[in-house]
Amino acid sequence: MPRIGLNKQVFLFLFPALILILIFVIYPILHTFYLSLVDLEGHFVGFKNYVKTVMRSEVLDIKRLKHFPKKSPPYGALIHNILWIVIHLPLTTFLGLFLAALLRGNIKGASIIKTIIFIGMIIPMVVSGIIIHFTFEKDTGVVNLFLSMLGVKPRSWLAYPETALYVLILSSVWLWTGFSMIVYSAGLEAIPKELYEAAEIDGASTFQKFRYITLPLLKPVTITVVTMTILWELKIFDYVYAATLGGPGGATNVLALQIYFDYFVTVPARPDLACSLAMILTFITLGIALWSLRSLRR
Amino acid sequence: MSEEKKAGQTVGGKALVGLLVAVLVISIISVILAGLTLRAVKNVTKSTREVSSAVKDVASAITTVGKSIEAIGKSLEKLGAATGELREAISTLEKRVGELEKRVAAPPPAKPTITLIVVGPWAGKEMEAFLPVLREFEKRNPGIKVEYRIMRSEDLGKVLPAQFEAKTCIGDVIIMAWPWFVEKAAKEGHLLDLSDVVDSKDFLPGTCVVVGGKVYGAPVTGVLKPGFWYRKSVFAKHGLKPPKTYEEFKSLVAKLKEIYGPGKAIATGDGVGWPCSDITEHFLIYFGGKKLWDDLIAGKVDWTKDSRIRKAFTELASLLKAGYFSEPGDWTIRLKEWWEGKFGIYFMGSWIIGMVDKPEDLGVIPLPGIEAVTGGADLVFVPKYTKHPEEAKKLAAWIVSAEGQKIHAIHSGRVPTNVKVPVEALPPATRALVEAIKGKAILPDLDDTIGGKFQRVFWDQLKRFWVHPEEMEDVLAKIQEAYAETVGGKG
Repeated sequence: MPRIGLNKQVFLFLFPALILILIFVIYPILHTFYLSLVDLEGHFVGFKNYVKTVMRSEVLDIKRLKHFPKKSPPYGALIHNILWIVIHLPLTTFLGLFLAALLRGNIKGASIIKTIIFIGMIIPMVVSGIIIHFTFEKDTGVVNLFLSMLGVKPRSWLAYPETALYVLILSSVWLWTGFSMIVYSAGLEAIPKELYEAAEIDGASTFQKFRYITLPLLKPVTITVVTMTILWELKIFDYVYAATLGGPGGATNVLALQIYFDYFVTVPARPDLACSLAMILTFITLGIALWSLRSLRR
Repeated sequence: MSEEKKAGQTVGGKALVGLLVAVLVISIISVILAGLTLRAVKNVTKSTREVSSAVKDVASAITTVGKSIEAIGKSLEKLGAATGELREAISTLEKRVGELEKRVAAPPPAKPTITLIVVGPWAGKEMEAFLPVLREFEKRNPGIKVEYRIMRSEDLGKVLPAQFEAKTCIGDVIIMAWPWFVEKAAKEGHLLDLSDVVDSKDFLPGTCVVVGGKVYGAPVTGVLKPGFWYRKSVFAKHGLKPPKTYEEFKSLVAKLKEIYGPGKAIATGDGVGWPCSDITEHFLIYFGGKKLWDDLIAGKVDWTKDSRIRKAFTELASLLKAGYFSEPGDWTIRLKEWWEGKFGIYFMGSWIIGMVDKPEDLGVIPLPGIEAVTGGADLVFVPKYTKHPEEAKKLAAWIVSAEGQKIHAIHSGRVPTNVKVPVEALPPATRALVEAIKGKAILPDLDDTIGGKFQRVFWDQLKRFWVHPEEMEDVLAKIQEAYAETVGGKG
């Protein structure tokens, strides 16, 4: 029996998975792309749907954005996702790195603390959204109990457009910090101890060691953490749905939720708007993924 | 004489003497015996006479016995006949036992138990009030089990379209509050025709979903959104009275603010946004009347320009700015807080009657002089994709029947929509509610009627309006945008 070449062997092993990807990933993407280029009657309109979907106020409220930050949200789902990245990304990344560095080595109770922090990753997002919904209630929420001790007047933080989005973003930090902490922990363990020993011999301070040894060697890990975090922030849906349903007044709306509203809630459905918005989101995430791959290769 | 002769003569004499003695003894014995015999004979004679009489008695007894025997004989004949019958019966019984033994050895296939799934919006106490309706159906229909699952209308509205496209459904009987959705599903051919089990004339006019002359949705018990609820005991304690004019209403809420504090005069519920929309609709009806309602449903108004709408919103904004309303909060938590005395009054639907422990303490204040209140009934329908169409239709018919609605109304405080339910059968609080809205028209809930994007945006923008009434113009603009898209058929 003739031997099958290596390439063919690889192909045969990958073939079942490729079929599944073709059916459940490639075909839906292509069909979504097709729907984004036609109107409700099926006529080809090119990229008009893309312009229409971005320029509506639910996605980009330019009038209101002009008065940022004087006027509170809603600014549009696209801006809300950008705010999510701008606030959430640095917080979770630095917090994760800080905790990983702090709990490195043989610290007593480190594994327990890491486990507690990681619980945020384990809890389903819908459950987290419901927890947040009630945690920030005026009379029954736990947060107001602590804030009132600091002299802050209690309020239903998620009922106000000016606070709802930021409350959601800040409270989602605990959901994702566990991920960055774990990844950084693994990265820190991979750094050879000899480098630190050599630096100590040369008289480097803790900060210098961190800046010139730890950070550069953690670059691949950081790229991974940043990429995954941005993708998570762009695709966020269930957490917002459960906590606020995008309200009040669209102040916490995000792109994935808007796609859902356009296709599944609006009657009749608007596949032209939903699919074009979905493709925009896909292109953005694809761009980030490609940048990440290029950075890692360097 | 010789010696021989002498000897012979002695012997002979002795023999004679002996003989005489013997004869004498025998004679004596004979006499004795004769005497004894004579006595015995006498006794015997006596006995004989006794025996004779006994025999006579016996004879008569025998005669009697004979007769009895005859009777017994006859009875025995009858018994024999009965025995014969009994034998036959035993034989039959033996045959039956034989059959039973065969059955026990190989039991016949049991009639399968069907399980029907009812999907409805009610949870907690509302669910507890509805379950007796289903349990009664199970009692009347052994062999059918009914399982209840919770899913709100908002979630059904998202899930069902995809399910219908896949020709499946999450339940056999669905209960939902959106008549527009039921009508749409009926037109698209996803629902079963209920006309053979439900007569639309049995219900309040306009409450059934009828498409092409066929009934596809029938109303369960209904709810009214009659106004602001208050506790009679609390009002009595503070010397407050239900207002008779709109000015009195404003004075009342000002007084309540003094008693309870800012933001506590009127409790505001929240969920997905319908509590705020219920209050807003009440104000719209107050300032716009039934004519505004007709115009809104027909798509004839502009929310940013219509003076009636602007008046209603302006008035509502002034009350919000004055701090009479609370922030929107989870409506079930608000209910508990209000009942416990943290708020003055609470605008809520009539289902509240079934959710408090003392419904007789409830009173309701519609805005004085309002000509109508909103109300509606959840609708029952049967998807075409049920695996048990006949049983599902039977269950749907039961739920909306007079008896089914009576059970539901008694437990929940909801208002029957089946006209055959007598008012006397309703609990006192429900009867009082019906009395309170006497003379007022019942209008369909606006966002449930229009539906689509309008409903979502209407709810969402009102949540924003509640905390920022100064943004009224932008709120109206957003509502108008969604309204124009929806009633224009574009969204």
